[in-house]
Amino acid sequence: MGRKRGRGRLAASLASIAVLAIFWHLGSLAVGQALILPSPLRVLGEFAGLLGSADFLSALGATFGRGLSAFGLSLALGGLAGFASGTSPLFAAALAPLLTTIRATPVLALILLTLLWFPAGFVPVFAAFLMSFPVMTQAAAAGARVASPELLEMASLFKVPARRVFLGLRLPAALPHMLSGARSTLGLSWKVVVAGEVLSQPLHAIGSGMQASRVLLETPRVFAWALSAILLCGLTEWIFARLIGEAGNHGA
Amino acid sequence: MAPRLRGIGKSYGELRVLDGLELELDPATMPVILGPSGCGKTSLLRILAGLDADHEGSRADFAAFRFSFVFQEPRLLPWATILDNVLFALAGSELEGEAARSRATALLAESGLGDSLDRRPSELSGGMRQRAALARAFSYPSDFILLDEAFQSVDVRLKRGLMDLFLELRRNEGRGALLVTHDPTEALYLADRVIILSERPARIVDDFAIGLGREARKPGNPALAPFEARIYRGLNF
Repeated sequence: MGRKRGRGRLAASLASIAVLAIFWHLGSLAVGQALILPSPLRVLGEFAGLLGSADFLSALGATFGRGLSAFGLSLALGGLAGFASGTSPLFAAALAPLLTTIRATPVLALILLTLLWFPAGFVPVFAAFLMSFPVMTQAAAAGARVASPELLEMASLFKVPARRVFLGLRLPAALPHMLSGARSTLGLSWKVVVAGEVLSQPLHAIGSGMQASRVLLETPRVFAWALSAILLCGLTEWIFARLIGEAGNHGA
Repeated sequence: MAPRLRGIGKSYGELRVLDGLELELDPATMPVILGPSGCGKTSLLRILAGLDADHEGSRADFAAFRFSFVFQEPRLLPWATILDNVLFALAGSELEGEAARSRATALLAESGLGDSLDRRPSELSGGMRQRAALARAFSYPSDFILLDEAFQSVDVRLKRGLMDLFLELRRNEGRGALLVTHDPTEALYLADRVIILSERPARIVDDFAIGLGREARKPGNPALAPFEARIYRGLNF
């Protein structure tokens, strides 16, 4: 039954990609200029060409590392800050102005500023961390607040130590919120990392490849670089979703 | 000499809940406190357990005792197995590692849950969940078990099974216990001693022993009738 449903979902996703590709192809035929809108087949050809080049693989590896670093930082620091603000109104009040400022700052302004402070390779990491930190913090804070007061009272009546209450009660109760926040953080991290790379131009980066191709008016190649970023994001989100599913089967 | 609560009073702002309660609790007997809903029974339990220090009077006699609890609802961690739920509570005791595990396993088995150690609460019936809550309370090394309307969340048939399990565990483990409830049938079935509280502010309006053995506690036994009448009189029915 579950496998059948899974196949149905896969078919629906593939059908939606096919419809999108058809519209894209029709659009490119209507425009008639690859410089403005290349056809999907042309982009796939460029992408296949990219796959064979050493530059592409090192760019992919470097962007992957930056994305994961930003995600890991947001997960760790955002999770901690969120938990602290979810359980301490005082900490939440102290953190609120910082979160509001970060949320209100345009991502481009942030990247341009950090360009002045950090080496090119670290700018995308820092910018992505800063953008996704409030998302993760908010999710973890919401998770920390959902722990049932009745269960907390039970733990206190049985004099369960604080560390055990955190690991055995608060953390599992918060997990669904935190995983949902982590998923949003992951997607956001990739977007900001690539945007940061476009502006900061590190030596090896998907964003740098994209920008170099744009300067040379190689639009199909810009699309091919963008496609690689989309695939990277999609693949990591898929792996993450699978890991969440596994955790769900074995834990909460 | 049995420990005593002396002159216990409690107010929430203007609302007076408990008023001058004097209560001696002999760990060898099974007292049941009966009172109308909202009269302050749970407040009294919290004071007795030392969880609410903001009250009048003294609970000094109970300061050295340890308590475990059974609530109206089982209060089990939904993501943890039944065994892990008991171990979670035992983390608040001096029992550790294998000693805690074997204690928890033994009590769960005694409660009829030996085959369900690795199941989560959602995989158990309401009665089984409350059995797990009883096993948790008895596996915890306490002097007194405090039961707050602990048999209210199940139907009449299951309630009887749970009360029998409680009596059996108490007999085997030898603990002091105190049940607060608004249900006279629980008092008639379980109590060696019945303490009846008035409406708010709660005062003790009657306190008497039921000197009947277990066999005589079956519902409908004419020997219970005078005690039943006295309970309903005390509750102003």
